[in-house]
Order: sequence, then C-alpha cells, then structure tokens
Amino acid sequence: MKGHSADKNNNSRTIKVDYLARVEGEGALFLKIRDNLLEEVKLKIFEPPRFFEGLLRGRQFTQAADITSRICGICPVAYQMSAIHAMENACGVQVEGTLRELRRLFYCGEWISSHALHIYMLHAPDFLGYDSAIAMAKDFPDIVERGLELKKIGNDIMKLMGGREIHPINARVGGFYKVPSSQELATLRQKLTHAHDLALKTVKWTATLKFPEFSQDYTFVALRPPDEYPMNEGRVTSNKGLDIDVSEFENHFEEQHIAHSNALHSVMQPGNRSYHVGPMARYALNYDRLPDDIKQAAQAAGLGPVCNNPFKSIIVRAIEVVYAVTEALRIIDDYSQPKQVAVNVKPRAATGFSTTEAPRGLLYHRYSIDNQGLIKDANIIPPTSQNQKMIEDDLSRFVQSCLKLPDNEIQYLSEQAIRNYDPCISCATHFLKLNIDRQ
Amino acid sequence: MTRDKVLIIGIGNPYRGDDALGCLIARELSAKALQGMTCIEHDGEPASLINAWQNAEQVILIDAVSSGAEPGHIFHFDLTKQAWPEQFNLYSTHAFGIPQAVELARVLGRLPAKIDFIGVEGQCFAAGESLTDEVKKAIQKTIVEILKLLD
Repeated sequence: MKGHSADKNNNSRTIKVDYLARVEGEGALFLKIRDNLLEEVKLKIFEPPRFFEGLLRGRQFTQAADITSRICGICPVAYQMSAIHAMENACGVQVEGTLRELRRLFYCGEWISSHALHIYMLHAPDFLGYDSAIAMAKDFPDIVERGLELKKIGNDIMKLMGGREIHPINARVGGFYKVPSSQELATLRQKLTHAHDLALKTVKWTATLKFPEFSQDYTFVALRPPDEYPMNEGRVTSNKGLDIDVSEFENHFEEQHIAHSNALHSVMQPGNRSYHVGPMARYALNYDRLPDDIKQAAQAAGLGPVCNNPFKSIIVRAIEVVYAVTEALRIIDDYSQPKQVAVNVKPRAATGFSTTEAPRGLLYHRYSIDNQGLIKDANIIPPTSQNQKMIEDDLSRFVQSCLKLPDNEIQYLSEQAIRNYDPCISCATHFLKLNIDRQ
Repeated sequence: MTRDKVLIIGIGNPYRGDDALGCLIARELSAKALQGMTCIEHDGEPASLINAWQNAEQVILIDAVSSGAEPGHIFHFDLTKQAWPEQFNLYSTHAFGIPQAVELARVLGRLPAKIDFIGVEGQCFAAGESLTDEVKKAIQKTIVEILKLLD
C-alpha cells in the first residue's frame, strides 16, 4: 500500500490511500462516516472501460475466444470457455465426451493457479498481519513455497492444455487445436498427486487463521449442473429459488451504470438486489456434488454445507483447490486420446449464451452472429461486476460494526473484506484508493 | 539437469507496442547463439519466472518500463546488490508481478547467484506489433549493455 496520509481536523477525519494493493486493477473505496454512523460506501472503479464488446463486432465467431481471453491474465480460460460455449450454443452444437472432459481439465488448471495465488500471495497476508507475501515469506517461507508450488502445478495444466500459461491459444470452438498425449498427462498426474497433498495442507492451514465474526444472509448465485461440481455448464441457480436456463440470464440480472464507477453494477431483479457469486456461492449451491472425502475435509476445517462468513472464503477456495486437483486426476485416469481434436461447427444466424464458473464467479457471455459467422452483437458480464454491489453491502455492515476502531484499522479490515471476493477489477473494466470521510 | 550458465529472459507482450522489446531482444541474442547462453521469452508470470531461473548461474531480465523517463532510456539494476527499485514497483496481474517474483525469490533464497535487470523506457504500450522509433533505436544499445554484463 502506498501513499497513505491522514488528516485530522476537529470532528472530521479523512484517510487517503493511493491504491489498494493485492487487488487487480484501479479503483477506490470511499467511506462517509457521520456521528459514528456509516452513511455511504462507494467502491469506485476508475480504470477506463475497454470496450471489448464493441471490438468483437464484425469479427468471426471463431475469434471471440482468443480476443476475450485477453481481458484477463488470471482467468483467460474462463473467458475462452464462456466464449466457446456461447458460440457452440448459437450454432446448435454440444461438445461431449473426452473433449468436454479436457475442457474441464483446462478449467481445473485455472482454478488451482488462480486460487493458490489469491490464498497464499494476496489474501493470507491480511490474516497474518503482513503487508505482502514477501514480508510474510520472511517468517513463513515454507507456507509461501507451498503456495508457489501449487500455483505452478495449476500453471502446468494451463500450459499443457492451452499452449502457454498466460493467454492460452489452444482452445477453439468445437474443441482444441491439439490434445495432450497420454504420456503428457501421465507426467502431469505425478505432479497432481503431490498437489493433492499440498491442497489438503492448504485447507488445514487456512482453517487455523483468525476470522472476523461477520456473516450475511447472502443471495448466492452459481451454476448447478445435473451431476457434478460446476465449471463449464449448468443452470443458473440461487439459494433463494432462482433456477433458470442461461438464455434467461438477462431477464433476471441487469447491468446498470453507476455514477461513481466505470464498471457496470450487475443487480438482480426485481428490486436491484445485490447477489454473491464465486467460491462461496458455488459451494453453498453444490455442496452435495462434492466427493465425500472433500466434504470431510471441509467439515474438519469447520465449514458446514453453507458458509456465510465472507472472510472464510479463503477456506472455501482451498476446498475448491482440493476439488480441482481431484477432478483433474479423475479426468487423467479416465483419459483415452481422442482421434478427433474438435468437432466441426458451422455458423448460423443465431444468438448464443453461456455462463461458466471463473475462479471468482459467474462469467456470462452472449453473442449474436450471422450466417457467415460474423459477430453482430456481444455482451460480457464478468464476476467482479456482479460482486461489486455485494462488496459495498458487506462493507456497509462490516465497517459499521468496527467504527470504534482507529481509521488505519478500519482501512486494513476494509481491504481484507474487499479481497474476500478476489476482485478482478481489470475484468470489470481496474486499483483502489481508500478515502474515509469521518465527521 | 544441466545448468544454464547465462539465462537471458526477455519479458513482454509482443502484441502491446513497445512492451515487445524484451521478447525481441531475447530473439536477437538467441540468433547470436553464444556459447553458454540460453535465451527465453517470458510473459512475466511470477511463479514460473522463479522456476525458469532455478538452474541458472547468471540471469539477465529485460523488460520495457514506464517510469516517466525519456523513451529509449536504458536502466540497469544489479539485483544481486540492490532491491527492486520502488519507482519501478508497479503492479502487475493481481499485484503480483516481476518485482514481487524477484523479491520473493530473494527472501526464499531462490535468486540466482547473479541477476541483473535491464529496463528500457517505452513510449507506447497500446495494442499492435510495432515499436516506436525511440525504442527501436535503443535495441542495439541495449544488446551492447547486456553483452557487457557477460564478461
């Protein structure tokens, strides 16, 4: 964190922080406190919008996966998968069998890599009182090494399946350009066996952290497939009764322009309600889809079937790492190299929809294409846009409960509360400046 | 596993204007096929960066920088002797980028015996495959600086 300054002037206090570290992108948090009451919370995202949806118009339907994967260096697989599934949906194609499994394996790599980065390098320092993972590594080198090792194994899956670790290029509409050999997967399997041990240690370790007492009656929204923990597909469901096909998404969720933010706020209708996407939502809505041994690991870590304390999202992420490693091992064990690396997909004039589960939550894509496969219209709703209002709601309640603390502690806890969501402000448009106006 | 005597790591994104500089220099040096030197292009992902140099005796990191200096200005930091300079401590993907990789490796005892950073001030980092004239002109000068470090 840089550029912290504090001014005290009679009844009013203002704290400014140039940005919030360990969050991707540029933004600011404004807290207005009057007479010990929190009047206003604004999570401002001032990084300019990037107009990806406009840039996609006129491009071939086959290009959306590679273009949209550039939106984010952390979750390119999610962008590729949502784009590809939406195009296949438009063209009336459903990819099944081994190619479907390989997509799931690809996604496991991204979950492991992204979650390990957030758990160990970005979020854990908050719980242990360090400014950064570098400072934490001085006292806990073995723990930080474990995080790096786990992240690297996730990267290895992404590299094998995607051709490279960042901005992968191997997935396409219909399948892949190249599929792995059994030998390549056998090499990966050895690493994943080790990763399973690292992931279980991660769950146990995160459970030992000290968590602020805070919970909310969240509206969780996540995919729910018929018979597996969600990644690439499923119905869009909530714990408050929503159960819709992805094509109905925009009938229930609406992106709104908010004056204080360059990122659109996604709200649930009716009533412009906030909702929660990401690991806690997936877990709450799909706990029964977890294998028994992972449920036991969750129980041993103190989690029930639903977790409503957002600070404990670090444990839920760790559980999802165990799941992703377990799932990757299953896919590898069942693998037989397919003769066909992709199915043929012919464009037709239609609109296609997809939501997949990016590490930090639902990622919605909608495309309209013409008979030649040219993109006529695109809409992308990233998870951080969906969580932005929820983060503000969390802060409204959480900060109110700790107003007696000095400003620097409020600031520290607010940042930690924002990081509960692993927000990727780059995806939502991008760094955080904290401003507490207290009178 | 054989050790790389010298590992040149050109960091950058070939499709973001002057950010391609690190990759282009790694390619040029690779074409010289100097004995004992391995050149790789790297996207800057920190965990894999630390792994990339684990078997190298000497590492030279090359990247375009944006510090407000004159475009084409060449910076050199001996990271064996000094920490990553604060003015270049800008944040990367999820605030965990090359500076964090270097400093984390230092804390964990995983820095190579010798590691230098050569940065070249870029001017334009917009999408596209062409470098600005000032940065293009700096390539050969930068290569000379790198070769000096190999003596």
